[in-house]
Amino acid sequence: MTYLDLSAIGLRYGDNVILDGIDLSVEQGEMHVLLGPSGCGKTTLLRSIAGLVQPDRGAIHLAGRAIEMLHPKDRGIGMVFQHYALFPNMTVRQNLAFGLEQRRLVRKVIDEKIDAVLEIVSLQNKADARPRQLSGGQKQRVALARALVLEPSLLLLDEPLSALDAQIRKRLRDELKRIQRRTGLTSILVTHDQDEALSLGDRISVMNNGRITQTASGPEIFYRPADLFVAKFIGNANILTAAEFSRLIGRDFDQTAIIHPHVFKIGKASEGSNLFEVAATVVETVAAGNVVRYVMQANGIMFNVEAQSAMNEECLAAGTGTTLSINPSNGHFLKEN
Amino acid sequence: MTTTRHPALTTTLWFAAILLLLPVLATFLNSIATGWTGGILPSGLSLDAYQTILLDARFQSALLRSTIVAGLALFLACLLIVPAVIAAHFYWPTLDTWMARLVILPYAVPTIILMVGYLRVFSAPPLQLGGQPIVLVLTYVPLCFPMFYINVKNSLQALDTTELFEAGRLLGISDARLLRRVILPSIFPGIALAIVLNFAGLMSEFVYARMLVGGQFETLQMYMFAQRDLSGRLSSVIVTVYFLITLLITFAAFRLVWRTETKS
Repeated sequence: MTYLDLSAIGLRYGDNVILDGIDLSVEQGEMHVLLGPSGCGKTTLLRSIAGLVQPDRGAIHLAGRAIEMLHPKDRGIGMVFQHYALFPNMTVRQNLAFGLEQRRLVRKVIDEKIDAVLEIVSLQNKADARPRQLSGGQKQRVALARALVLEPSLLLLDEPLSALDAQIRKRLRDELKRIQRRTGLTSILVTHDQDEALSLGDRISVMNNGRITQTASGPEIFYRPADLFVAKFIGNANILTAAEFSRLIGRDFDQTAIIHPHVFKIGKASEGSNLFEVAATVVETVAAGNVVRYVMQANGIMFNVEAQSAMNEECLAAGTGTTLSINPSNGHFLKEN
Repeated sequence: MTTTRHPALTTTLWFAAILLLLPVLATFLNSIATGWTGGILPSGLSLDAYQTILLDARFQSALLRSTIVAGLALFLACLLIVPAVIAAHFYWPTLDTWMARLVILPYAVPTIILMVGYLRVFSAPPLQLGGQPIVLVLTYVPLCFPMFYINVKNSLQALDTTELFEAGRLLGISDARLLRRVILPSIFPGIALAIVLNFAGLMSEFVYARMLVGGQFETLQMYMFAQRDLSGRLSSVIVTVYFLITLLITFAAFRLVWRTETKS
């Protein structure tokens, strides 16, 4: 059942179209990711749902209730901001209590709620610390706790990990996933990082120029992008025009081919199979831990190939000739305009 | 936090600190000396000069006048300037640009021109207050403006106020409440710093006092000016007392800031 339903959300500033008739349905308990480049409208869409931006047109229904005209506080939405937005003069406990105090709850209930949510984000021992005494990751967990403590119907996360360094980012990403699973809270996360989107999202909406280009599961978006924009934005697939792909495989072809680097297998195809074989030359080799990334050339076409590395196996040196096999069913093909 | 030791830097800083403290120490030493001629150190020490100055009713009144005038001016400045800077920052960016330009005014316009202007303003209705102490209070308020503007503005810019207000709105906290409970306490150290710096400036202010209220209202600096021919020792006492008061106010302000930060 659709839990959050956006229909025909539109917003323009002067001549600039920011949101161009967005339709989106999010299921209950889903972690939905809005992914797109800077300026594509994803944050504005998130802020429209929160009520911090008023769209010019469209309707927003949350759990069957029209919320587009409600004040942000009445929408039952919690939000985690990119730069945490913690109240700097208050302790962690006071930050969490501030919103609850507005609801005129008994002190004991407030304390119980805060303790419970601090346990979820594993920050029990930081309750009396001030934001400036916390690391970036801890601050973001407090921001998450502050949103969770009000028991919202929907959680919005605006690039919550982008201000953190790579290591903490990965750890917090896993934790975010765990917390979302544990609370079962319907969430929408905005990011421009495809790794983050693919590892966190139950479904992903890729946005471009104020529109949603494709909404699908991570693997679907990764392997079957709806158009060239999504293909270029997600992953590092080889995008070969029909002419290039025809030259590569030596047969006529009329569609743009999206071939991921790991789809090329080094070695000849077994006899009788319908795999394409290509004689290629290694141009560049980069051994990066468990994978080896090659730039190869065949029939004047340059493309990327990725292979698993092995402990006792040498990788192919630049200048080496090799045979590659491609299974066409592992590639994705788009009609050329 | 870890600190790296840089011997050369430490030495330079100590040298600079001693160099800056030297005149203060020398003034203090002079204020407690019985005589100081022909030697590197005074010939004897005594607190007699302090007794003379501190028990002088004229000094006491001058000190009280300066403190009251500075206090009133700062009170008015806090009441008028701080809300204006905050309001401009949040709601009137155009006004804010003008304020940023006005900061330079008290420094850019020669004091004599300001004086002539003030004398004219306060010599005709509706503000015919010429020579009254209130004139001093009123003219000190704009003098405080740059320091208040810079400190409050810097404190506001250090906060991501847009996100804070938005977070507040989602939590059901009104803008006014957020301003009172979060923004004001967060910028309080900046306001306190502006108060301390302005207080020190106003206590040592001479030109305005001399030109606008003349001899009818003797402030600390005017008292000091009057004593200049009597004895260098007495001047040293006044400077030391003035310095101690400023120091006291500074400590009081920082203590207040510290208490607000740990309590709120």
